[in-house]
Amino acid sequence: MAISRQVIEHIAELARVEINNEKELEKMAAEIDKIIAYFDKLKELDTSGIEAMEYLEADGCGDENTLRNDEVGKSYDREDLLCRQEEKEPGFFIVPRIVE
Amino acid sequence: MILGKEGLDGRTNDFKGKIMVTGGKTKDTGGDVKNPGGDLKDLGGNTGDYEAVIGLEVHAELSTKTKIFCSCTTEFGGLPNTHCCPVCTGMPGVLPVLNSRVVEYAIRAGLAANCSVSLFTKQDRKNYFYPDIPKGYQISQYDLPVCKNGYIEIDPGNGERENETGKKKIRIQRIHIEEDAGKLLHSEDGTCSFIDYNRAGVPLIEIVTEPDISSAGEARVFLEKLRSMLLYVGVSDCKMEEGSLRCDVNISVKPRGRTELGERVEIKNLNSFRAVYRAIEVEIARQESIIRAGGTISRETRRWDDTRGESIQMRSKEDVHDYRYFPEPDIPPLTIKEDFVERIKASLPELPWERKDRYIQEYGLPEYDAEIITSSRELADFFEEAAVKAAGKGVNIKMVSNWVIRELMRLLNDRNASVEDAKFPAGHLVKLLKIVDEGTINIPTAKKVFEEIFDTGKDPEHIVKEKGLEVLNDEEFLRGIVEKVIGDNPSSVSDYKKGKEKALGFLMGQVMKETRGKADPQVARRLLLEELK
Amino acid sequence: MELHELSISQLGSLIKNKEVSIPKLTRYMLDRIEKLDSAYGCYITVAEEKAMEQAADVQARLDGGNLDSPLAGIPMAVKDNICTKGILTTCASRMLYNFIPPYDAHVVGKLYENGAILLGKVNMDEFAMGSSTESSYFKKTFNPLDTERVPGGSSGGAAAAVASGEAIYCLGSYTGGSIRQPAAFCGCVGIKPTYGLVSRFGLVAYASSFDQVGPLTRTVSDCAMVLGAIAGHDPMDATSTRKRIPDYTKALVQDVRGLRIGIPGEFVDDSVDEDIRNAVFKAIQVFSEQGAECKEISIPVMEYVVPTYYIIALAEASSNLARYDGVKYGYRTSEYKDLIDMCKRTRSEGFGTEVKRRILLGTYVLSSGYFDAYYKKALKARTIISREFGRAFEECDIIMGPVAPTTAYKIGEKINDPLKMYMEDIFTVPANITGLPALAIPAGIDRNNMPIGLQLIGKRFDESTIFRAGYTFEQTIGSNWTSSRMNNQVNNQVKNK
Repeated sequence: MAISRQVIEHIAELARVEINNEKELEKMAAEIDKIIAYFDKLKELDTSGIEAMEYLEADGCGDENTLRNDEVGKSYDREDLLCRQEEKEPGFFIVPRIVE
Repeated sequence: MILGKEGLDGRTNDFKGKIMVTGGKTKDTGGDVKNPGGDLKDLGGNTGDYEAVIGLEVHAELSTKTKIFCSCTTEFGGLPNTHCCPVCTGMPGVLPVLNSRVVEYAIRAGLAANCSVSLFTKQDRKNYFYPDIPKGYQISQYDLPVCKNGYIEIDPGNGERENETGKKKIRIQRIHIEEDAGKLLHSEDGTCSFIDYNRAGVPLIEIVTEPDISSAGEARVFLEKLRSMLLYVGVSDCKMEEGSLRCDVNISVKPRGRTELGERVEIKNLNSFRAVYRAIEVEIARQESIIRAGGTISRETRRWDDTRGESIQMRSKEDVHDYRYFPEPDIPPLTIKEDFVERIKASLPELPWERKDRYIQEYGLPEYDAEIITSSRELADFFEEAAVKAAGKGVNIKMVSNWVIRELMRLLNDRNASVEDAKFPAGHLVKLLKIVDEGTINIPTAKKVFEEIFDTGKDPEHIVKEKGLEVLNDEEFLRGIVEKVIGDNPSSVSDYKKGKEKALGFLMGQVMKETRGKADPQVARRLLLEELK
Repeated sequence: MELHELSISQLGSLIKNKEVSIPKLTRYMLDRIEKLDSAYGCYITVAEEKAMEQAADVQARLDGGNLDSPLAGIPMAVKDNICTKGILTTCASRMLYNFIPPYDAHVVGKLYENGAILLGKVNMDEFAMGSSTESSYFKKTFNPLDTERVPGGSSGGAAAAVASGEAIYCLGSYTGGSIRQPAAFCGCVGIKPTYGLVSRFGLVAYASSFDQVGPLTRTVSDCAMVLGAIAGHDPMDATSTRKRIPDYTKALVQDVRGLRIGIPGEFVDDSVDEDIRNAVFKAIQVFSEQGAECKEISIPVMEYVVPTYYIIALAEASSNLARYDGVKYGYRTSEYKDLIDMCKRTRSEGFGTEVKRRILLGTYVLSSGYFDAYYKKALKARTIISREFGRAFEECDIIMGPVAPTTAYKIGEKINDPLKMYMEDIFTVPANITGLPALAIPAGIDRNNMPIGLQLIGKRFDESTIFRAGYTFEQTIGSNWTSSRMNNQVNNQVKNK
């Protein structure tokens, strides 16, 4: 396999995805390896001197028109933004204690 | 106890009293304007066997009306999560639209700091997980910041003058725009944390310096300079106590004279200029002692604990983030037109250092005074208005600057107010000084009158008349008072005659007391001496 | 013909002439969903109450003369990754099993303005990641033409709802081939508009630089009408166009004389099913007879389009899906040690296998050490691919080919081979990579009576030309060819179930 287990585990850590089942991890690693091997096909393509196309040439791209004026609009009722029932009264999003 | 779903049962009503602010931010008025006594000239020593190489990353919140990517207000305070919408809370399906004023303000700051402006710029995503960033990434700028390659000159004051003007250039590597994170609070029982996204999406500029700073003192001078610049150009209110100006420090220490840099350590959570100063001093000492003991410095991130006066490791080299920056596809790249930049350039006000030089030349102010007065645009404006009026009335400008620095700033500090809050025109101060000059009132009285001007905004002439504060120099009247005092205090009189000079002071005090402080001290003293003969 | 078999304009005139009231039509559609949906699994949420309220409201607006739109009163459904205020929007994921948006997507707002009636939210592959609607957390959707087969994906619920007459039209979303491929599999018409034509605000992001919303309909005219209603600038989407939107219905003329149609050899090679190839050749014949100039062209970079597309799409997806961390909304795991553990478990339990695989792949191609080899390389390949298409469009006005190399396949046939599934997207992803508009229209059936989709790719913002060509083709081979035969086929499937 071209991609090591450590790499997959590192990537999973970065992506905060947990694969705790050994069999599942093996299978996932094998599939990812296969797909990456397919992506490697791109290496055949000569891209020397070619610029990376970071954006589609969207209409109005680079135009000041894509900016917004600094005008205050209405904020939302926080009851509509807080989805969990227990958060509505205190008015905060609540998570387990963050250790800094 | 781990707080599961049931953990909140029955306790939801108690939250208000139980929340404390994360990190225990120290209340710093940030106000070196208000604390001119700070040891401005003491720029820290850097003379031993080792030298420090320091770079700063300063985050300043921009004073736009709305957030960077949505139209929610940026106003400070407000109930938690009430300055929010689906965009700044990272709901599924929303898109960011860049606030044009943010771009303008970043360019403004960049031009003031002698940067070049990128005519083609874009936003990038910085990917990492932390609950104070609602999208799982922060929209920032990676390889094409709005501004780059600038500098700010400081007076290093420790002999390291680089050119004939005695200034040292601190180079600005880049200024980029990004969004602020939300605020985290923690329950007192330590089981859970609360998130307030009011601050999420408030626009920031990050100003990154080159590692040109070599001491804690230089760092502080630079920060003061930077802050006054940002205030002058009006892009940030720079209130450290509200978190609108924050600073991270990168420090490495190396044997003096060696060219290659040591491993650098980053220090975070510096909530005041004082904290920056102390943290640098402590970190330099820490690194020095490690090197002296034969150890090596490893790359790490440390967190400053201001109450304990020390830093603690946050992250080691091993868990350095992989932010996976890539171009933000939701925001088209921006082409900035040159005439836009020119317009901003033309609208820049006179910068603090330019003003300072002018005050030295035009008004003959000592450098120290000019520095203090120009540290705040409002203060300088006040001074300048007074100076113009003083020239018209023949009042000494040096006297005006003394009053501004001593009395005005003392009162501002006492009343915890800022110049913008002042209720009176600068002309009142000049009028007051004119009255003093003419000998109508004495200095101690003038200070009291000024206090009243400050508090009420009343005209000084009016106050003096109303309260009958004119100096008493009618000799006949005063002689009567002196005679009375001598008659009432025979023991002091005999003390004086036995040679106790102190007794004279007591008798003078009695005269002033009898006249409610209005007696002309010189006349009173002369008369007292005459009568005691 | 029954109500659900009618086109938008036919229903529109019935409503206008008061031959059917909007509440009655809406009730009819809701009843039909009630009757059929257990067999097809198109809907995740049926918004019955809200639909009836809307129906009464729109009828009143229409009667009061306050509404003038061909879409007024027409019942439709929306893919479940398009936000609807107050109505569950799940993206067919456990992660958003309880998410009720506090706002409407721009396109939904536009349709409401036009008096559209929202019947409900239709099934899809989880977070639009798939080509068969088999990865939905909630249910499978079956192809109404053969319930042993997939409806395609990711907008499979939308295509199946249109094909089975459970909605007159649907809004789908498209990232890879997510509108055209299900349209082809279910015998419907679907368009992926030019990137930037339709606002993405409220469309739950998969790959931001490819995502678009587009209609799935029975006919080309219906498609043009719906697209006209949702296209145009939205201040909430900085990538949406400020161009004036032409009246697409004006393009609905049977005339392709002088139109230059290029057929890339790479689109009809051996990898393509023979019946599909023959359908494309038949189409060439039809267009030539109508006066178009058809010629073979070549796009040599075709073999690189799939990896290019997936690398960029998955990179963006890995970032777009980072917001699902259990903190703010949606699923949160019930047991955890601390915050990081909560986040990891939430993501591991909340996302399905395919979504996790794509997040991992996307994270990989962006990570330090691999960024240049994959992500950056793909952006360069995108430049080359765009140039090649640009060059091709110098010699022709439309590029034509099949939508997919196969017709609808059996359920379970490809779900276990992700790579094979990705490669199915070969003919649809070039238009994504380049941002070009592409229309899928039915073009016959294969040996199993399953529909074949024909794809017409146009120049940027030139939707009108592909509508004209599509309309001409549809009129020539028989207007709405599917209707009677397809209805019989659909009805047979219901009986068999």
